[in-house]
Order: sequence, then structure tokens, then C-alpha cells
Amino acid sequence: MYNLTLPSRLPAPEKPHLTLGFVPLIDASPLIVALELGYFEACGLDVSLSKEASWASIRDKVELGLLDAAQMPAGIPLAAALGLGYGHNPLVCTMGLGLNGNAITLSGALYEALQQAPEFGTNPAAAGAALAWYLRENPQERPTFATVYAHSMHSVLLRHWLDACGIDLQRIRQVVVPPPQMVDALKRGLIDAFCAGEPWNSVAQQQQVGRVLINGHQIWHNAPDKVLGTTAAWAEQHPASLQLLIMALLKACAWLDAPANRPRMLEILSQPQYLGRDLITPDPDIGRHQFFGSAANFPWQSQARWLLEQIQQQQSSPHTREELDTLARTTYVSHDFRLASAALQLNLPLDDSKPEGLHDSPWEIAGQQGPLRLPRDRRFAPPT
Amino acid sequence: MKSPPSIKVLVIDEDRGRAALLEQSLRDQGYEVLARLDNTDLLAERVEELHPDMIIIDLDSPNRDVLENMALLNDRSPRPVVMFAEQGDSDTISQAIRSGVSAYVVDGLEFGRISSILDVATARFREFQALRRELVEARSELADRKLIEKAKGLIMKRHNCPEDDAFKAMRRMAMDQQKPLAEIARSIIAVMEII
Repeated sequence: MYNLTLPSRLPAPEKPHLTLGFVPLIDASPLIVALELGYFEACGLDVSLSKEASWASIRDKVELGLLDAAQMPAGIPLAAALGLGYGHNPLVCTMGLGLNGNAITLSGALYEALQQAPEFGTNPAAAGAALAWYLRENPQERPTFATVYAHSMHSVLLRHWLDACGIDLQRIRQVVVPPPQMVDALKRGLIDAFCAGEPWNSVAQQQQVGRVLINGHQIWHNAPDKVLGTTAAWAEQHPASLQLLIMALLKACAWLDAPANRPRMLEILSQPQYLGRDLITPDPDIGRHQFFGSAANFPWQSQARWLLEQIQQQQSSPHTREELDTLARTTYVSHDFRLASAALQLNLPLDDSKPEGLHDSPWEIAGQQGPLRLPRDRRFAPPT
Repeated sequence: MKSPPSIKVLVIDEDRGRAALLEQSLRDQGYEVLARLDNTDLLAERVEELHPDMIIIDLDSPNRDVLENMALLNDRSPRPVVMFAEQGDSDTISQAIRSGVSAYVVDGLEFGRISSILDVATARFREFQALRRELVEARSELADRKLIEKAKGLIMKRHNCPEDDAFKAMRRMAMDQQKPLAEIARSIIAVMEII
């Protein structure tokens, strides 16, 4: 299962020299591992990785062709498709790079204040009730919650949780803080809480600056997170390069999911050109990264559709259901993923969509080579 | 003809030298520079306080995501303009991006005026990059010369030969091994310091 075999004959890439963008986070691992373990090379690709300082920079550089493709939050290609102030070179999501990886961390002071609530607990319902209680008790307070990007899963999960707990979003000040400044901002009281990807929650706990309130996977079990994005034009002009890229990344994802490989993964990530030594002791239970499998890697239409609705809530002029269906279809494209997976003998879903967020235990959908087993995917909803 | 009201520009750049150079050029062109920020703590508050018409920021600044979020949450916040390709002159924009300039503007600013500020910023960013490159080269040249002098001294002492012979020997080694003289000097020093 974990060792995918490449087909004996590979297509010739239209463009063998590729530059891929990444932001130094645990979930950049598929790109980093594919390079370090020689999977790109085995697929006939000569890849350079470019460390980027912001998601805005990743998006612009991909749109302008300075990067061929990049790791990006699942929401970026969709926000661009909704016309949220971006350019006119449409982006596409060609595969998922993994599930989970986020948490909501509070300053020590806010955490202790919430602990005074009658129903405090570290699950979404009780934590939400405690926050609602705190806001009622302190009507002048408007705590500052930071995320790392407007359309990343952190922002989507945070808003979904607050909303599901009946908390008025106006009572929270939402800001963006670059991840490397997050722990320091919490320490200095510039923010009261943050929702960010690993390793930042682990770092805040290890430095005793903050405490994890709830994990992202408690809000949505096995939620999508980062994807491989490129432009629609690039994908169309370089189908072989793209499929080879997906094959190499699938091999890396399969390798990453073997628990025995975790020490080696952390060793690779600790190199200074990636995350560096200070950032590589994440608590695996906070992140609960899942890198491999249909749930993690397939570009699901149903997820694109749900995310579009979440992102659109921030827009004044909503799109119709039909428009959103079309945007989901043109932005999350499965064609190249299907061909690459088939070349690796992987089972594929018959349909590009699946029910989302309803399952408390592993479940099955119809696949081309028999049933496809998927992990639980329950999304937190308000108690009815 | 009455000159249009001055555009209020905010410059965010962690490279203080470059930001100073850019500020001077913008002032020379008649733009009003509200502030240069390098320490970007509380950036959101500073932007709200200053009300710039336009923000020039290093493309690779981590603070770009802060500005993107502000543009989304607040209608009066400057919006990203680097991807404004529909307005025609996408050359200016792609040149700006290749030089490392990114810009955010409030709605209603004429494209001609945006592109002239971008031109100034692009030129300054390029000039600064060239300066920095020259400085790095000059530094490494100096370091190389010191290495060669040291290696030469070691050879002279060990073999009790004149300076000219020591240098010739090193140059011959460099030619035979097809390596730069500084690299030869480095290996000579390494070896001689062990023995």
C-alpha cells in the first residue's frame, strides 16, 4: 500500500524543469519529501522548490508564471474564481496534499477566563459555550482572533465553529498575522487567540505562551487543507508534466502516511531550507495529518462547493447555485489526477462528489476497482 | 492646468535602506509619503490610522496576507493591484513583480497614476538589488584576496621561497586543476594548517 510503483513507461514531460512554491509548514511535506527522496527525479522532473513568505505571494507568482505550481490553501483557487480582488488567470486545484493540521490556540489569560465558564470543555460545543459565556459576561471585550490567511482552512474552520456556536462574528476582531510572528504576537498580547496550522500550535504550547483549546479535526474530522494549485492554462498546456508531478506527490504522500517514516520526515523538514530545527517537534495529536488516500488527495467537487459557499459569505453580491456549481467544476479538476492515479494502479471514486461531513466512523463509496474506504468526516454542527 | 491632488503612499519594507531610497524618489516626483514601516507589528491598526491611497510593499513580505485580509473585511482598505492586468498596461505590473514590488490601492485611483508610482518603485528596487549584488561581490573579492595572501605566506615560509615563486606555484595548481585561485588557496591553507 505504502510503496507505490511507477509504471515502466512514463510520458515525456512538456516542461521538465519546474519551480514549485511552498510555505514552511508541516503540510508542505509532500513537496519537500518528493524532492528529497528523488520521486520527482524518478518521474523525469527536475524540480526546484521556492520558499515563499505569504500566500498572496504564492498566488500571484503562480498566476504570473513565476512559479509553475504551488502548495496553497484549498480556498485560494476558489476565492480567485469568485473574483475576490484577484487577477484574470484562473487557478485550478489539481490534487489535495493532505487532511487536518490546524488548531485553535488561546493566550493563557483567555484560556483561564474560559475555564471559569459553567460548561467549559475542550470540545467544540463546550469550548464554544464557554466563549459565548465569556462574551456575555464581558460585553466590552472584543477578543482578537488571528488566522494566517483570509481564505485558508483556518479562517473557514474558525468562522464555522463560531457560527455553529451562535457567536456573533462582530464580537470577535479577526486579523491576519504571518505565521512566524504568531507566537510572539500572542506572547505580547497583540492577539488573544489564533487558528493556524502546525507546527505553530505546538510551538505556542512548548513555549508556554498559549494553550490549545480545540483541534481543527474536532471541528471537521479529516477536513481538506492544502492543495496543489496551478493555473488552468498551465494545466492545459502541460498535461504530462502535471500528471508526472501528481504521481511523484502521491508517492511522497503514501510514504508520509507510514508511521515508521515519521522520524525521517522530521529530519528532512529540520533542514534550514525547509522548516529548520526549531520547528520540528510538533505534537502529532494536534496536527493529525493524513497525507494519503482518496479522501486526502482527490480534488473533491463536493468540498469545492462547500468552501465556495463559506467564502462567498464574505461577499456582498452572492452567486447563484448554478454559478457556484460551475465554478466548483472548473476550479477543482480531477482529469489529470485520475490519469496519474490510474497509472499508479490506485482505486478511484466513480463520482467526483461525495456526501461531506456526515460520518462518525469509516465509510465506503463506489470505486472503479470495488468499494473505496474513506475515514470519518463528521463536521461539527450546533446541537439541535 | 491644476495639478491633481497628491497621492498618499505608505511604504512597507523590511529593508530600511531600500525604503529610504524609494521614499526620496517618490517625494521627488511629488507624491506624499505618509510613512515608511519596517517594524510591522500592528500593521492593520497603522493602515487604518494613516488612510493611504496606495501601499507599496515588497512582494515577498509576509505582511501581504495581512493586507489581503484587510481588503476583504474593510471596503475602505486598499486593495491589491499587482494583478490589475485588465487595465491594459500589464507590462508595468509584471515588471514590478519581477523586481519584487507589490502594490495595494484604494478604489478609484487612476491607472496612469498607479503605474507611474509602480515605475518609480520598480526602478528603485532594481537599483537597490544591483547595489546589494555589487556589495556582495566586492566583499567576496576582498575575502578571496586575503585567502590567497595567507596561502602564499604559508608556502613561502614552508619552502623558504620568494613571493613570486609561491604565487606561480599556486597559479599552476589552479590551472592544472581548473579551479579558481581562491579555492586552491583554501585547500593549501587547510592542508598546511594540519601538518
